[in-house]
Amino acid sequence: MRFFFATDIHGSETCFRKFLRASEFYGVDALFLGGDYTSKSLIACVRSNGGWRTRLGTDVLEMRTLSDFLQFKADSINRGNLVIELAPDDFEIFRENTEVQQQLFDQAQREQLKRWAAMAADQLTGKGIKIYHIPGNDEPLYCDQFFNEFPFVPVDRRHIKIDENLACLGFGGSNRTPWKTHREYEEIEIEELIGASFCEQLKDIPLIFVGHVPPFKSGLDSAPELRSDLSYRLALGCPARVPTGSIAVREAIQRLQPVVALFGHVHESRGQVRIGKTICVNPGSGYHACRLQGCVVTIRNDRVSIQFTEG
Amino acid sequence: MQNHPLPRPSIFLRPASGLVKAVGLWDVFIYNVGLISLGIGVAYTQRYGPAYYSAGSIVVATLLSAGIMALVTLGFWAWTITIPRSGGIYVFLTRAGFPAFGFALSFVECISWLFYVAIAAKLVTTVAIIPLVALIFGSSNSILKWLSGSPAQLIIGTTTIVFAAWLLITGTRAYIKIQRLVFIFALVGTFALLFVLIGGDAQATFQANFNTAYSYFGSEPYSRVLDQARSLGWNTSAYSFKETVSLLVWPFLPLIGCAFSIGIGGEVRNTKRNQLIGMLGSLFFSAFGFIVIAILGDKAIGTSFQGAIAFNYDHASLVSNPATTAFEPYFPYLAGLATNSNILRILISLGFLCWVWFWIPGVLAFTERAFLAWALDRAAPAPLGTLHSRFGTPYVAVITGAIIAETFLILILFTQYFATLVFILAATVAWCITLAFGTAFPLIRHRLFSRSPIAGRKIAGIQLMTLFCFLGACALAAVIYLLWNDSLAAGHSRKSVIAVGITFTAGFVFHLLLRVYRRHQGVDLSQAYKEIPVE
Repeated sequence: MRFFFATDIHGSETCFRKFLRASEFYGVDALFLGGDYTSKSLIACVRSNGGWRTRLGTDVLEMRTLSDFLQFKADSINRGNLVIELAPDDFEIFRENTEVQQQLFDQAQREQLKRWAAMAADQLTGKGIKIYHIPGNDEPLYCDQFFNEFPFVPVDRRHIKIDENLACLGFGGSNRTPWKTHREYEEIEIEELIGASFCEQLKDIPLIFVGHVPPFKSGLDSAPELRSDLSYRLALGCPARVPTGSIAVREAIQRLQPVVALFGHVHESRGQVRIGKTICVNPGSGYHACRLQGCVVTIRNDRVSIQFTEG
Repeated sequence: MQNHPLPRPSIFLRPASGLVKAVGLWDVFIYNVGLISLGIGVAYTQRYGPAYYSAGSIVVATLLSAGIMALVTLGFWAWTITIPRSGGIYVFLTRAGFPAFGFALSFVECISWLFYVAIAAKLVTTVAIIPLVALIFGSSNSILKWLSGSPAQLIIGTTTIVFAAWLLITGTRAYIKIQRLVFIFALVGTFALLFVLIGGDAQATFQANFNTAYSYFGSEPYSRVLDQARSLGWNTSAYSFKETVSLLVWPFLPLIGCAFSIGIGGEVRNTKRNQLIGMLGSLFFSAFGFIVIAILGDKAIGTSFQGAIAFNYDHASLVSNPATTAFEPYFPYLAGLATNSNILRILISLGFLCWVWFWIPGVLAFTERAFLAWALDRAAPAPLGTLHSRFGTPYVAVITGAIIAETFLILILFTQYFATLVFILAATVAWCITLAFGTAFPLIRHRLFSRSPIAGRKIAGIQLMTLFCFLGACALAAVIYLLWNDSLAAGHSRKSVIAVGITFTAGFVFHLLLRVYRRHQGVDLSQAYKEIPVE
């Protein structure tokens, strides 16, 4: 079997479109999506003086024509930002009220996920390509309502057969992070959840493990050390790096020894490492630059080869 | 209708992982200052400049090389903001659609920098340890004799390389802790150096100490050095701009470090501003440091004297009583003689040791990143990108770099194969070709370039990237010309040409062979970096 794996596209429209095209581009049999596919930010553009205005950082952006606004919206969405337009009065409410901000964000996010689901169905129907996916720690719980129908196959906390020769076990979410995101668990919980997902009847079928958080101290989980204000701890221009992966995931890999294990979560730790007989990979992420980082995995006669890609 | 006020950013950021501030301006600045290495720059320029380019001005040469390097920096700034990735020229060229050149030039670059890791490993002894021993224990003793020999320099150099590799393998924390300490000592040593050289009695103290230490030269040892150099053919003509231009290749070597932050381009926040100011800032700051030390060194020691004593050292076999030191008369030793304080002498030597050391793991890390990028793209054997099971670091890449550096160290110490700056010639050619590609990039890769933050910026109708890369390429071409025609620095002797030629050829041949091998395995190398069309 030959498949393409990408992860952490964080709402980037360009990356998702490339992901759908990847099956044809790389000539693979299936696609795997490793979580953290929702956006992190919502840009509000206020209608003003016949045009639109928004402020990013210290820069105020003025869009006088519809085409300027649509161009800005497209660029922002491509890079993973959601964009809404508000009337001035609504913007006043938006500015001051975090609940309204969250509501509008969730609304825009649901619309995007619906659109993506339709896009995927449209492009992959008739090609027999499935998208096996898990949520990441950043996915709000309502995301479980989406990506349930063809071509999507959710594999979070499921152990399923892919074909006669391969099975797949997935675990989304992560261990505790400083950002207190939607799907974080204690190590003991992760251990129990993975254990509960494992299906004894499939134990003899070679396994693909799809996780979000990488194994602890694997090199795939090396992230910049943070201060309490979430800035990098730096010295002499170099970020100090610390392992941030999950101990329970590492132990699960050591115990289950899948043929290959796929991870994401830590964008900077692109690489490949062996844990026992298992090849573990993290293709990293370059979503903010519309760059789809991934890897093409070929499993043939129990031999695994990995080619990292940057589409 | 009034414009609606936007006093705050109208962007809502929900709790999500990865929203951290990245490398900022000061970090780029400090990173590059560390990789310029004041120690290596001062040591080499003061060692060779006055001796072989005595009609040249170190101050003007440093300004010229800073000017050249500024143009080169602007070219690489254009590259790094257009392709803001970590990995340097390999990433620029492969992602721009020139994979064969990307690998081959990156290969040349890495080999060149690893050569200078070996040079630096040797300089640990010759620039720092030997001066310190001579200043504290006298200019003639058995320890000095041993340190001046190749076996001692091999032991110390190897220990340095191994320690640097170990630091990188065990992880960033250990590396940063050590480097932070080293940087502090480097600054303290530099301040001690300036304090000594600025002192009103520095010149008198230097001459008195030199005359005492070398009283066996006869009366007036200081003058004897100058007289003997003249008699051996040392050139003492008046100021020459031509010689100043020739001299600039020596300060150019360390100043090239100001552009090394292209290697961490993917981690820099607000790339356009921070890389530009960080790179140029480190360049001018360091050039200023070189100039200040050169001026103060002239005041305290005498530029002519530095030239004469080095010239005598290199021609010692031609006379029966050479008026020179028994070891290479590097600047830290001479500066140490300008004070009677052993504490200041120790601090000065320690400062140089720290500047030289600083470079070694920094450059090993630079090449490690390149090796890792090759391995992940399968442009090099996959095991090169293997991560350590305990430390999570690319230990195979680090060890490979260390072995190459160690091989160079052995060749440098026990053979005469390499002129000192021959691999700067190779590296500048690689960078020049990269900038030449950058000149054409906006035209031939228009779609990719259109996403660059400087895509719309033009001067006189010419794309900024085209202009800056063109100027940078021309600047490097000038340096290549100087190096090619300077047999002391690099030259075009058969050995130099073979060394550079083999390096370039090996890079291209390796890439082509690997491409064929991968195709045989069913792997299309170009898929590693070809962009997937969205529609």
